[in-house]
Amino acid sequence: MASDLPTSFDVVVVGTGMSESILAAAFSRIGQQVLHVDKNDFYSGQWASFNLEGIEKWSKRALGEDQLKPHDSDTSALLKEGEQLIDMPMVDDSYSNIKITFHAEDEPVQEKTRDSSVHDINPSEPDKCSKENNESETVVTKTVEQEITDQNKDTGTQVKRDTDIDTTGSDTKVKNNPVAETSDEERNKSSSEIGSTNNQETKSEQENSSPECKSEQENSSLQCESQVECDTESEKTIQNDKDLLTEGENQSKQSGDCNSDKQSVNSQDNIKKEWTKSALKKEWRKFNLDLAPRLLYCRGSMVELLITSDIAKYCEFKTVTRMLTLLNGKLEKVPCSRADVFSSKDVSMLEKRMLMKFLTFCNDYQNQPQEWTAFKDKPFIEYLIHKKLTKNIKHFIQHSIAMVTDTVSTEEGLSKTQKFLHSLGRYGNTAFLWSLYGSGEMPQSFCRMCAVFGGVYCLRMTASSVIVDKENKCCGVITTEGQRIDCRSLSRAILITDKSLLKSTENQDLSLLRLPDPNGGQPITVLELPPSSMACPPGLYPDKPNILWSLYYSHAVCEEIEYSEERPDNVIIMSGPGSEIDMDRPVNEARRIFEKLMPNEDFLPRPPNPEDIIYVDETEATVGGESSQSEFAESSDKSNQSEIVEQTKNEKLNDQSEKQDCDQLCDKTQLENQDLKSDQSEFVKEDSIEKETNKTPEQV
Amino acid sequence: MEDYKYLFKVVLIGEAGVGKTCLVRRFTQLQIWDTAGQERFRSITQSYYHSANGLILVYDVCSQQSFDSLPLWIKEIETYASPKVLGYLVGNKIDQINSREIPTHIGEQFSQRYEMTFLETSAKEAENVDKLFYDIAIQLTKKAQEEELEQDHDNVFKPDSTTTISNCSTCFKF
Repeated sequence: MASDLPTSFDVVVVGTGMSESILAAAFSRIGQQVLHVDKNDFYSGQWASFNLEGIEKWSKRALGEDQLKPHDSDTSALLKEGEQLIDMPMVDDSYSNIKITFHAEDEPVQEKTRDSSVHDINPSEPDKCSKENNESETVVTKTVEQEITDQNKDTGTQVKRDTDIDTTGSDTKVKNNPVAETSDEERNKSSSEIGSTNNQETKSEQENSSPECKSEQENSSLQCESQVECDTESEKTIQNDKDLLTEGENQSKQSGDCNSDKQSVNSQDNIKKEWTKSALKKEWRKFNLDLAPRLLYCRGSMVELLITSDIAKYCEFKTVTRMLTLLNGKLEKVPCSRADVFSSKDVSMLEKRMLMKFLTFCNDYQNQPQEWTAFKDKPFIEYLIHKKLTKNIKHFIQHSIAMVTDTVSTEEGLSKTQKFLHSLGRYGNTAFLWSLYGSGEMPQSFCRMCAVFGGVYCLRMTASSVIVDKENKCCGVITTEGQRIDCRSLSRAILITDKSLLKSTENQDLSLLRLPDPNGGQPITVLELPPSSMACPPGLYPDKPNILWSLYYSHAVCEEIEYSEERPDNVIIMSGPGSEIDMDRPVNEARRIFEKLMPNEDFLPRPPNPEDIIYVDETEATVGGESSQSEFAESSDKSNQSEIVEQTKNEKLNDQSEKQDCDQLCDKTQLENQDLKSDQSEFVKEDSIEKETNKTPEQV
Repeated sequence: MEDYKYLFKVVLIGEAGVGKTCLVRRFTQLQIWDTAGQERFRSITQSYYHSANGLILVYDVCSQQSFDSLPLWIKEIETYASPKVLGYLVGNKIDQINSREIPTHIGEQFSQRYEMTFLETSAKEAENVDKLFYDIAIQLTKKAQEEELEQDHDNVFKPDSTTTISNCSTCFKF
C-alpha cells in the first residue's frame, strides 16, 4: 500500500495527536517535506473522538489486541555503515482499567440489531417513519463523567494518576405510556420506537409542523432548536443535572417538575422514550466520544492560533452556554459574566459588589502589584481569604473561574482568573468553545493544513525503529512496512511518547461543571453536551439523567518529558494530553519546539491569499503529482476565493458585534441595578481595558 | 451582513489520480473541499466528511481499479458523513475515449444502487463540469429553502442542514 511512498523527507512526525499535528502543520507550512504517520487507523491518537462502535474497537486495541507490529523482514540490510537502530516502543500501555458497560435495559433479541440501515429504510412498515419521528423528539443526555479514584501522586518520579471516566447516558422516562414496552419480539428492531408510539397522538396535536414522515435529521434540527431554547432557560434544566451527580437517581419528584416546566416552554419535548441498549447501538454513528475531552478558551492560544493560521476554516465551534458548580449540595449556575453576576439570584447584593470588584482587579492584576505580591507564592486560597471574600464567592472563583486546586499559588490563580476573564464575551456568555464533533477534530484540522501544503499522510503505519548515524543524529526511520525513510540530516524526526490523560470528564450539553475533590486532589470536570454539539444523537439529553452507558478507564499522565541521554538531539519527544481542560499547552509546546528548531521561521503564518497562487502546471493530474499539487485546490476558483475572504471579514465583524452585544447586555443590567452605581463605573473601565487587550492579537 | 445566503460544504472523494483536483480547478462557485492528497494512502481525516452538504465520489472511467474501490469509499461515507448528504457519483476522464474501461451503464447501475446521482465528466475538456456543480448548487439550495419553510425560527442551529453557521447565534466560526 505504501509502496509508492517517497523514501526521503525533511521531517517525519510519528503520531497524529494534538502537539504533533500542530508541529507537522507548522513544518509543512514553511515548505518542509513532512511525512506524518500514525499506527492507528484513525487520526488524533490519544486525542481521538470515537463513535460507539469505534470506542469499543479502541478499548480492545488498548488492551493489546490487534496492535501494529514491526515488520518481520530483516531491516539491518537497510542500514548504511555506522548506522544503528533504536527500536521504538510499539505498544501504548498508558491506558488501563478499561471497562465499558451498558446500563440501559436490554431487550433480549435486540442485541443483534446493529445495522442501522435495517431500520432506516423499511417499506414494509410504513408507520415506522412517524414512530421514528417521535423517537428523535426525545431529549436525553449523554454524559461522560470522570472520577478520580486514586491519589498515586507520590509513588514515583513520574506523577501518575488513575482516572476513571464514566460515560453515562441519561434516559428519559416514558410519560403517559403505560403499555409501551411490552410489544412482541418480532418487532424488536423498532421496539425503541414502539415505546413512543403511544405518545403519537399527544405529539401530533402539539406539533405544528407537518405530521408526515420526516427524516431523522430534520428532527434533529428541531431537536437542537428546542435545546437552544432550553439553554436560555437554563435555570430550569440545572436541577436535572443534579440527578446526574447522584448517579442516575433520576426519578426524583424535583426533576419531574423540571420536566413539566420544560414542556410548557417547548411543546416538542413532550415525548419521552425509553432508551435501550439496542436503541443506543442503533445510533452508534451519532456519538463522538472523546478520549481527551477539551474545551478552548475563547482567547486562549489555541483559538488565536486557529485564527492567525487560518485553520479555523476547517472546523466549527459552539460556545459553552453555562457553567455549573456544586455549592452546598446544590447545583448552581456560576455567575461569570457581568450580566450573570447582576442577574444571579444566588448571590446577595453585597456579594455581587465583592465579586465584581475582585474580578475587575484580576483583569488587571499585573498593574496593581501592591495588592498581591505579598502572596505571590502562597496558595491562592489564602489570598482569597485575605481578600475577605465570602464562602460562596471564594468557591466560585477558585473552582469555577480560576479552576485551581488548593495548592496553586496566588500568582497562578490570578493569571488563570485573568485568562478566564479575557475569554469572556468574545463568542458568547462563557469563556469556552467546544469543537463540533468532538475534540478529536482539532488535530485533524492541523493535519489538513499540513496536507494542503504537501504533507504526506499514512495511517496504520508507524516507525518501528529510528536509524541513528555515527554522530548520534537521527537520519531516518524504519516503518512497520519494512521500508526505510530517510530524514534530511538537518531536519528532525519528532517522535511521540505515550503519555497520558489525567482526568477530565465529559458529558453532554454544553455545560461545564467543575467539582473539587474533597480530599484536595485533582478536581472532576463534567462537560455536558447536547446533540447540536454533534457528539451524540438527538434524543439524548438531560431530562432525567439515567446512566445508559459508561466507559471507565485510567490513563497514565506524563506532561513533563524526561529526555533520556541516548536520545539523538534531532529526535523530539512530545507530550500527550494532560489534565488541563483546554488545548493551549500543546499549542505552546509545539510553538516552543518549532521556534527552537526553526529559529528564523514563522510559526503557522496565515496562508497566502489563494488569488496570489500561481499554478505551475495546470494540466498535471496524474497520480504522482497529486499531493504536491493539491495545495489550495479546495479554493482554487476565484469567485470562491473572494467568498472565503469575504467570510473572514464577516467573521471578524462577528467577533466585534458579539462584543457589542455583550456590552449591551451589561448596559441593560446596569439599568436594572441602579443601586450599584459605584460598580458601574468600574465596568465601564473594565470594558475599555478589555477592548484594548482585544486589539493586540488582531493587529498582530 | 453576508454576500451569500447559503454556504454549502461539498466534498470530493475517490481514488488518487481520478481527477478530483482538476474538477475543482475547472469550475466551482461552491466551497469545494478537496482531499489534499490524503486519499493516497487511504488516510482521509474523518473531519473531512463532517458537516458536508454534498459529496462527489469520483472514479476514472479508464481505471477499473478506481471503480472497484468505490465500495470502500461508500463505506467511509456511511460511517462518517451525514446520511442526508447529497451524493453524486462521477466518472471522470471521458475524453480518453480509447482507454475507457467502465461503460456508462455500469457506472449508472452502481449509482442507482446507492441512490446517488450519476454523471460522466471530462475535467480536461470541461465537459459536464459546470453542469455537475450547478446541479449540486441548485439541489442544495432547493433543499435548504424547503427546510427553511419548515422552520419557524431563525436562530436555530442546524448541524445537518445547510444554512451557514454564521447565521446562528449559538455557533461560531472564527
